[in-house]
This record gives sequence, C-alpha cells and structure tokens, in this order.
Amino acid sequence: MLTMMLRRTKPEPLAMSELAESHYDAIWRFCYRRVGHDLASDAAQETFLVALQRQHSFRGDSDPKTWLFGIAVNVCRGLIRSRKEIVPLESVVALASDSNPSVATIRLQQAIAKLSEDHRETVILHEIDGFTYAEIGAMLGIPEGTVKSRLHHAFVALRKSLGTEDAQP
Amino acid sequence: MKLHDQLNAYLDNELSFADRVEIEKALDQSPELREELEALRVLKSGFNPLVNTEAPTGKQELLARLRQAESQPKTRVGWGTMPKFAWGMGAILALFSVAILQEFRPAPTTSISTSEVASMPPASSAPAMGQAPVPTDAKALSTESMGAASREMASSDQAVASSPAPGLPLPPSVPQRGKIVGRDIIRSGSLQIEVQDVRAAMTSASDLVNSLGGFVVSSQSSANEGQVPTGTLEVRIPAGKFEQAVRQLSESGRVLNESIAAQDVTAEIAAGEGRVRALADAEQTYLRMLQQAKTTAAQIEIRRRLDEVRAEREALRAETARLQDLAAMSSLMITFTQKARVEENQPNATWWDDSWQGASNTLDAVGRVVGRVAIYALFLSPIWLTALAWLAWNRRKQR
Repeated sequence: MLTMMLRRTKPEPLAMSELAESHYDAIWRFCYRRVGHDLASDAAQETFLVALQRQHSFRGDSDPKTWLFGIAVNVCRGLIRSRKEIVPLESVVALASDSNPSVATIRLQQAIAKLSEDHRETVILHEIDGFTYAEIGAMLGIPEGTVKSRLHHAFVALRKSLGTEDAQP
Repeated sequence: MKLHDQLNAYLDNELSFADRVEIEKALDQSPELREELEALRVLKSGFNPLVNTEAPTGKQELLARLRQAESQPKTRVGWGTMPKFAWGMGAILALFSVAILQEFRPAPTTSISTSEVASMPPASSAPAMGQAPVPTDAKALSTESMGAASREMASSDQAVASSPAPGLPLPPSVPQRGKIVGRDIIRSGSLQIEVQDVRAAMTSASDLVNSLGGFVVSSQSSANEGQVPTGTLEVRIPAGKFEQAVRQLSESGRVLNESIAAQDVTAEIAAGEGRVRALADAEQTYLRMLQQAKTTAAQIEIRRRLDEVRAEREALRAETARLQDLAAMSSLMITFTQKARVEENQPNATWWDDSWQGASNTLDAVGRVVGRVAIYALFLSPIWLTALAWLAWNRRKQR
C-alpha cells in the first residue's frame, strides 16, 4: 500500500524537451486549427510551458501525448475566450495540404464550422488528429460514451448540412 | 442506442465485439443500413484533405527555452511544485502533533509557597467562572458603584453585617459580597487533589486560604497503617477570590475531581430586604397605635401583633443575612490524597508486569491520540473537505 502511494506521488519526471521534440508538430497543428496561424505558435509554446509547470501533477495514468493535448485544449479555449478576432475555422482548415481544395472539401469545412464548439472539437480530435474515443475522453474530461454520442450527433448534423446544400439549386 | 447510431463507432472500430457482430448481422439483412454506412464512409473520407501538413513554427525557440529551464537546478520549492501527498501527510502530522502534545502535556506539580501567593494577580484580574450575564440596561452597575451600594447597605443594616452566622467565625474584615457586578452568587465546590505529601499540602492550602482573606472551617486527616494518607479541609473563601483559590489549589497536585456549583440568590436577598423594610414600617405603625390605644384589650392585641411583626422581621433579617454571608464567603471542600508509590504497592513487580503495564499505558495513550485525531478531523471536516474538493476540481481542470 505504502509502495503504491509512494509510486503515485513520485512519478518519473518528464523530459519536457523530449516531449516537445516528439509532439510539438501535432500540438501546433491542433492549435493551428483552433486559433489560426498567427496564434498557433503562441498556443503550442504555452501548452508546453504549462505542462512544464504542471509536470508534477502528471500521474502517468495516460499517454503523455494525450495529457499534452488536454492542456492544449484548455490553452486554446482560453485564447478563444480572451480574443474575439480568432480566425474562423473555415479559413483555417482551407489552408490544408491541398492548395486547391475541391468544392466538396470547402463545403465540408463550412459544415464543420457550423457545428457547435463541443461537436467541432470532438470531430477534429478524432477525424483529423486521429485520437481514439478513450483518448478524447481523457483530454476533455468526459466519459467515452459522451465522445461516441457527440461524434454521432456531429455526423448527423454534418450530413444534414451537406444534404441541405445539395438540395439547394 | 439504435443501430443507426452505432454506424459511426463501427467505422471507427470502437465497438465491442458483441455490438460489432450485431451490426454486421444487421448490415447483411438491411440494404438501407448498408447505404447509410457507405454514405458515412464517404463523408469521413472527406476529412483526409483537411489533415494539415503545414510546417509548424516556433519549435526551436520553445526547445531552447525548455532546455534552459531543465538545465537550471531547482533551488526553490514553490507551493505548486510540492506534491499533494506531502501536503496531506503534513496536515495529518500536524493533527497528530497537536493531539500528542495535548495528551502528554505534563501536569503542573509546583507547590504553593507564601511568596508565590503574594505575587499572584489580584482576584479582579482572574477570569470569572460561571459568570452570570451582566444587565445591559442603563441600571447596570460598575464595580465601583457596586462597592458604594454595598457600603450603603452595610451602614443601613449594621446588625446584619456584624452578626456572625451560627457556628461560623467571621474573618477579620468582611469582604465585598459577590464577585459578579449586580448579582449575589453563592458558590460552593469540592476538589480532590493527589499530592506527594498530604500534610504539607494541607498546610500550604491553609496558608493560601488565610492569605486570601478566608478561613478554615474544619480540618481532618488520616494516616492509618496500610492505607493511603488522606486529608480534608473545609474552607470559606471570599467570593471574589474563589476562582483564584481553586486555580492555585489545583496547581498543588494532580486534580482527580473538581466540582463547582453556583446559585444566584439576588432575587431572594432583594425580596428579603424589602420585606424587612415593610415589617419595620408596620412595627412603627403598631407602636404609634399602641401609644394611642385607650383600652387594655386594644393594647394587648396591638402588642401581640407587634410581637408577631418583630419576630417575623428578625427571622427574615437572619435569613437574608445568612444568604448574604453565603454569597460573600464561598465554601470549598478540599480532599488531599497521597500519591501511591508503585514500588511500595507492588513490591513483587516483575519485568513482565512492568512491560505489561507499559504496553497497556502506551495502547491507552495511542487510543486516545487516535480518538483525538478523529475528533479533530471530524470537527475540521468543513475545511479539509473543501480543500479536497478544490484539489479534485483543480486536477480535473488541469487534465
């Protein structure tokens, strides 16, 4: 019992520079999609600096990458709350690898932009960043079933939005 | 959840085996469900072009800052860097320390000497025990005005102040009545004290009582062979110095039992004094009537009434005087018992008995400490439960 307690209270110290080396790009892209190009670097750097301060609170229960993304979610939310002139999502997502996105891609971007913040966040984390339901649940502090439900409703909304546009002349 | 709602999780391979089998069975049977699955698959594939491959910026700058931070020795331990486990252990240790200090605090065993008695603070500075609430209206009297009222009362009722209670000698000077302003309180109590030497303790107690203006009513001691020596003192102490006396006597040894009682007799004394005055007026009236009576029968009747009034007045005056005396001089019964010597009582004690006794005492002490800690923890639960809730909330927020 005591050994378990000591193990819980003395986790292996995280080498933050190594974590940054491995995960900075993914974190930066996540922030890029949330707050835009101009603030992406600030948000990503802030994420790692916050992680450096809180590394003692990391218990090792989850993957460090999941933990970092959880911090990034909160950092981006804080930036979005503090700044009104955040770049809209559709313009951010438009700067994808394809410099000449198809009409379908642009319509999908617009449909994603219409989603609620919770649904949009979950869809991006899963479909673009490739996290599993469990990882997203750990990041956002919600049960796995809620992630599943959010994704289902997000896709229903996306299909409805894209279907409506198809029906328009 | 309906099968349609599970399609997304099926494509994401996030379903349990049973749910997956169920979906695949339904897909085999339902062309509509297969069509919906295909539409969802196409929609999800539309996300592929959105995967951003733009080169991130600011990485080298961050790495430099992180490496610099990691290379610096951590000389300062901030509040935030301290593990929460350490905080918890610290709090528990603090609770244990307080409980242990209270449990093992040595009892004062200082003896009372004349010089110490002389250096004691005056009774007025001692905290009042069982103090009755002072009236808050404009009629509330200060200590000084109460003293004046007492003097006035004493001069108007000289006979009462100077008449000794039956069977009790009065001290040289009559102390002021009652310690609490505006109230007449009769206090009495008993103390049982364990001391090293009963005879010396009784002498010290007598000296202390005399120095405080009190006196010893009775004294009794016994030192029979084979029995623990005991001594009993019944003393009267000025009401204003009663608490000081109890406190100083308690310091002469280990207090085994203490009992203090108080009775407010203000109303009884005031009623008695008013009745005495009324009877005095009636007496004067009867005296005038006696002078004016012309027949012998009337004179006899008036004299009979006069005797009755005088008898009643004297009885009331005596009762009032008794109450005032009791309020002025508190009574205290002190019983001294000599501390038993272990080597005398247990001449054949072995290492086993010693060990057993020591272990029992330790277990008893530990039990009391644990009990104290539990009571402290329960009493302080609003604080630490709030702190725990805050920590949980903070952890959830950080995650």
